[in-house]
Amino acid sequence: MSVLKVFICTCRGGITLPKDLDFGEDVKVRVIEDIFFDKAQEEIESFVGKEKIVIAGPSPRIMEGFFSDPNIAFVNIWEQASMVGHGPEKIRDLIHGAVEGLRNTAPVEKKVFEIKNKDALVIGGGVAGLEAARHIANAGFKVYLIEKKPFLGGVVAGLDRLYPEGTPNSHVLYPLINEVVRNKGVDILTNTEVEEVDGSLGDYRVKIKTHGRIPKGLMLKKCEEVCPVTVNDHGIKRKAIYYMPTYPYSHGIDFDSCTRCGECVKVCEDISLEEEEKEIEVGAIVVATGLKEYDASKIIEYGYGRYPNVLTQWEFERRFSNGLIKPKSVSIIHCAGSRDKNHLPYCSRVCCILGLKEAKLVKDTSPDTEVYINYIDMRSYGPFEEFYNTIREIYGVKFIQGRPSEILQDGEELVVRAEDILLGKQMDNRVEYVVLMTGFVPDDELFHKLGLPADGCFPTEYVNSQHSVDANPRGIFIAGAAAFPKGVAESMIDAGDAAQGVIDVLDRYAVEKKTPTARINSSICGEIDCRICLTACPYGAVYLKDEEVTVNEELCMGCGICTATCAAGANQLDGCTNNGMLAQIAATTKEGDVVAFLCKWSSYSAADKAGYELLRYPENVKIIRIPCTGRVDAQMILKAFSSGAKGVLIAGCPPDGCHYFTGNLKARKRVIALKKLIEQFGINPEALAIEWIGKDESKKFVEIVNRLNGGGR
Amino acid sequence: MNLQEEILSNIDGRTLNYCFSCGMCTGGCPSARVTDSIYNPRKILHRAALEGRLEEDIWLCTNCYTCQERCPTKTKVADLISLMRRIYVKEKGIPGFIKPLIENLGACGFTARIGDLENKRRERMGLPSVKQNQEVRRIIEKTGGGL
Repeated sequence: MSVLKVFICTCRGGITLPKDLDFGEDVKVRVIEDIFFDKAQEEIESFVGKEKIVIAGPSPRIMEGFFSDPNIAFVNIWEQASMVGHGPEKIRDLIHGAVEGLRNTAPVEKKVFEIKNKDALVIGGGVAGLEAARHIANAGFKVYLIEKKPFLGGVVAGLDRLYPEGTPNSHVLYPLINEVVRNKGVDILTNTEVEEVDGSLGDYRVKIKTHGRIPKGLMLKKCEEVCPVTVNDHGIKRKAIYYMPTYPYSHGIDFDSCTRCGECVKVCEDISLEEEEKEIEVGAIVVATGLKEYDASKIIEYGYGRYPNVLTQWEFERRFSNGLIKPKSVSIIHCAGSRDKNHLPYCSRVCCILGLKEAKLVKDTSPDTEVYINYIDMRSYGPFEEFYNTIREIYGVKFIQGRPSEILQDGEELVVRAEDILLGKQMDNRVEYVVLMTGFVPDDELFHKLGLPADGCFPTEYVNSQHSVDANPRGIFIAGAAAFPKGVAESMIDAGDAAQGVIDVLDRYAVEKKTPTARINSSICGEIDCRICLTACPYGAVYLKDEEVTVNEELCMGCGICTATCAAGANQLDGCTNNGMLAQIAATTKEGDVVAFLCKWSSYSAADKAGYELLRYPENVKIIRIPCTGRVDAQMILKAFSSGAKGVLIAGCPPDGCHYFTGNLKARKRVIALKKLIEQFGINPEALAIEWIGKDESKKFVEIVNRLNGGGR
Repeated sequence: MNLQEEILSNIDGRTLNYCFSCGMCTGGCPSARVTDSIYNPRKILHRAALEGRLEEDIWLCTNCYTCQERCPTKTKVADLISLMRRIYVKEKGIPGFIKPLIENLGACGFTARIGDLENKRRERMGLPSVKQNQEVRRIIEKTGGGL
């Protein structure tokens, strides 16, 4: 790839090209009339992947719709030059910059992931896992559905009523389980856990461990009788071998509490307590591990664990539906642990409506029970408002606005001490039972085995970036409430979405990598070993593998924030390397220019918009497109100044609006620190600016470059 | 005086904006309990944030810090009330009903006067007796303690 091809579109004569189009001996220049012609595109396409190509013409926002290859550099000579009335000299500088940048960049190989295994693994047999397995199997792929508990059904199977209106769960669960069981493509393995995951997209090897087996269709009441282990399952007493009306259609053994004494095997020889390990090969994985309740005993002032009548939502519902408790009065406490910086800083999203569901359950079954709800804000968005109204108007549940401060026991009664905000008074509410609507946390034991970034929170960044079309193809999909708390219907919709992603991957022979990724030169990195880039990555894609800094190519989104933090130059972003960027800056910049590094997600579009709007700004403003302001490092800024720039602008997305979450904030910190440094070099710190310019703020862009142009250093 | 500006210029004071009025502070407040919620820390914070008004109820806080301990938004409730007291004194001086406490403080270094009776009781408990403390008096005089 030593030859460089430059295609320049004149937009049917709309752009006046410079006379001198000689960029060196190895550069072949071809001027085309209109790049939107099929023939012109076919001609360019014939060189893609073989040579390094520079395409000068309309904005890359448009051109990326036609060409996607890491070895193509785009130059915007239409919106950001011709349309704003800038002359051929600037056009030459811009093309020259791109040529030099590309010349100094090693060719990037297009990475392809081969999909070797056509099977899928679904982890978790709750509604989300079942629904995902059903969709994938229906599309004709073999699915391993594994569940760590003895029965399918997850959270829903343990409860009587569905979120939110309280439909009995059998309406959804039984048909769903039967659909999955009927499908010959699904291999259901209960009592099974993931031991180890190895490999990458299209080629995962997963070690799974099955704790024991009971043949299908056996009612083992006698085994249950002889079992010596009694378990308290959310307040319901059962044996370690027990029955649940889901799948498998037989008794199951809870191996968390089973002591493997072998009493049941004496009764029924078909039971196997042997652990079995096996390795399966799959192409994609769905993680549907769901959520669990936050440990309510950590909220000391609510007395969970000290007072027997303080229960969590699931405990209460299970005991109440099974007729074990008949409360005279209940106080339902919302946000127990949620929206609390001492516990879970986030809103668990479903508990407001879950609380209303519990209230309805109590009132439906025993209308004379007094039900109080303590809440901060009732988040009954969308159609749930009607449900909230029903609970208030028809069921007569009493709502107290105010987060309880403490719960005390007084004889048989519990005292809920809270301020009634609307009355402005501290009140003691005496009730028989207290139900804590605890916040939810992910059941995240597996996350680190799968290489998912997790620190006890829901993997929001992973999920958000997964839904971004510019993300690299991935083999691990999160479905249902493992991503964040969801209701039953939402979880199932989400599972369909994850299944679609799996089918999309498995259906192909190979998938191409979309985003450029960062690469680590381990010989340089090993010497310095500063590990700063580990904390810079917003996706957890930069990680330590055998004490060596490594980039997970599936997770990397190509922002270059880590590249900018590497002072040694060991970390390089494909297509945006230090050498390439510095060469481009040096070739583009002339004495007295203003160099603008614009983030491709927002500010670059604002500059394009200035073009459509025919705004005017000085010709010496040279724009360099970057993936994120977080990529701009001190070297690049200083290079611009040393090449003669009198002003440098770094502009990106508004605060909290960064495509890569925090790139713009990191860039801001870096620039503020650099301002102090350049003052020592005799450069006016006012000549360096970092600004938020949103995609529509073309006027702001023009104002800022005018200011920088006037300032001078 | 602008109360909001004064509060927000203080590092603890800045947590005033964290409050989302959930009422957990008032719910567990012992002063609110005995005053039938005339003393209501949630209201005091809300009033300061919206109206910028100081009232005498801030002097009912016992500084037990239960509110601050439990606050889910990590608003420094008790520190904010203390801050408002300082602003109050700066603006209006020490209120009349606090003066007896200051007198005690000047006399013995405690807000409750410790005389012979208390010292005898301390002796029985094996505690050292408390003597008249002139240092605190001097501090109060120097800082314009309003005596």
